Amino acid sequence: MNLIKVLPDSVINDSFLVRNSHVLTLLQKLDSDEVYNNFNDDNYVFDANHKLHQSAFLQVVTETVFEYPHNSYSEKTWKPIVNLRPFVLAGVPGSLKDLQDFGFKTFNNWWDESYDNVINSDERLIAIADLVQHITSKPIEELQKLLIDMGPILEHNRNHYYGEFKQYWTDQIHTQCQQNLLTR
Amino acid sequence: MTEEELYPQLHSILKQYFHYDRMFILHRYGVGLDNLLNDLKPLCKHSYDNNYRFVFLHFDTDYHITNDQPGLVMRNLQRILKELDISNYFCMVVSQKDLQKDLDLLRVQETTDCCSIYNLLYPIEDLYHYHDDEFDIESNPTNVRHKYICLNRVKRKHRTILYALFKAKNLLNKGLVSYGAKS
Repeated sequence: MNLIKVLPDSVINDSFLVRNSHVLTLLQKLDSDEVYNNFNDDNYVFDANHKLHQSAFLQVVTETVFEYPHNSYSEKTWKPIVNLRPFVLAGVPGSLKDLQDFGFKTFNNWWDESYDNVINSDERLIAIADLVQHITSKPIEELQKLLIDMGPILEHNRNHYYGEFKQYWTDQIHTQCQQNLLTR
Repeated sequence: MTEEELYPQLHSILKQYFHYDRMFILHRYGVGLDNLLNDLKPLCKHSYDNNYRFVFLHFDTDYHITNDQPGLVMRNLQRILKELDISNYFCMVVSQKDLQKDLDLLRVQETTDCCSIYNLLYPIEDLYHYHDDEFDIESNPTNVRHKYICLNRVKRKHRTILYALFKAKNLLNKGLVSYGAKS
């Protein structure tokens, strides 16, 4: 039997080709051993950690996969939702659209979410960084007011997550199990 | 912790329909699925009850050589099942993303089996990590002291680029940022 052992350079995950000259220059300047941390990030991955996450206005979610054939949401995407915070989602193209199709609402009333449609990976990251720069140029007081303005959307997302979304998929799992027994 | 203890909700649903000896968490076996064959061997029989299943949990990412081909973990799984002469009929992969197309393709590419491994789509695993008593928190806008938070404990290419862009734009000190603290 021939089992495949992965050579890191042979897979497309996490190894997309950077074409943008600005990004290439930035990467060349970065020390490969560089580590940065301006707060205590020693938290359990599945802890919703309200105190930490509610201390910030925006969550910039860097999902596990970015260049990948399947969309994938991990606990990272759900964290801003359970903490009633807006988010910018660095995931595969169409991640926001898929969330909307699942019944969640995103933040295109407040900022440009066209980054979600950018196919080229480094261009998508540049668009995300530009957006974060735009949002964080506002003073904290303005961001706090924005949060009040976004209240109905944030509550919808939290309620949907714990309510219809969870129930829909629980029902779906039962349906799939029944189908598996019927069709086999 | 056993697989059943880790995923009690999934276990409670599956056991209503199927009989299985255990759930196999694939990421514990590494990409090459080392030792999975040894763990499966003692469970192999000449015949199984109609509702018996081998249940594989695949919540982590797979490794793809190209966009249009199944991942390597799924390919290795299919090869191991074929080696052990376990029919796909009795196998089920539980995942957060829809892999049925990949599993159908693997059946054709790797086996002469009459059916594919069944993909049970279960995208809500993470829901159960956040407890119900956390549901009622309020938005608390006055708690906001930082403009953003961006957690990147594990380095990945896209996180490295985003971190470099934030650094170049002098955004790091405007928020809470971690980068690369865990290898």
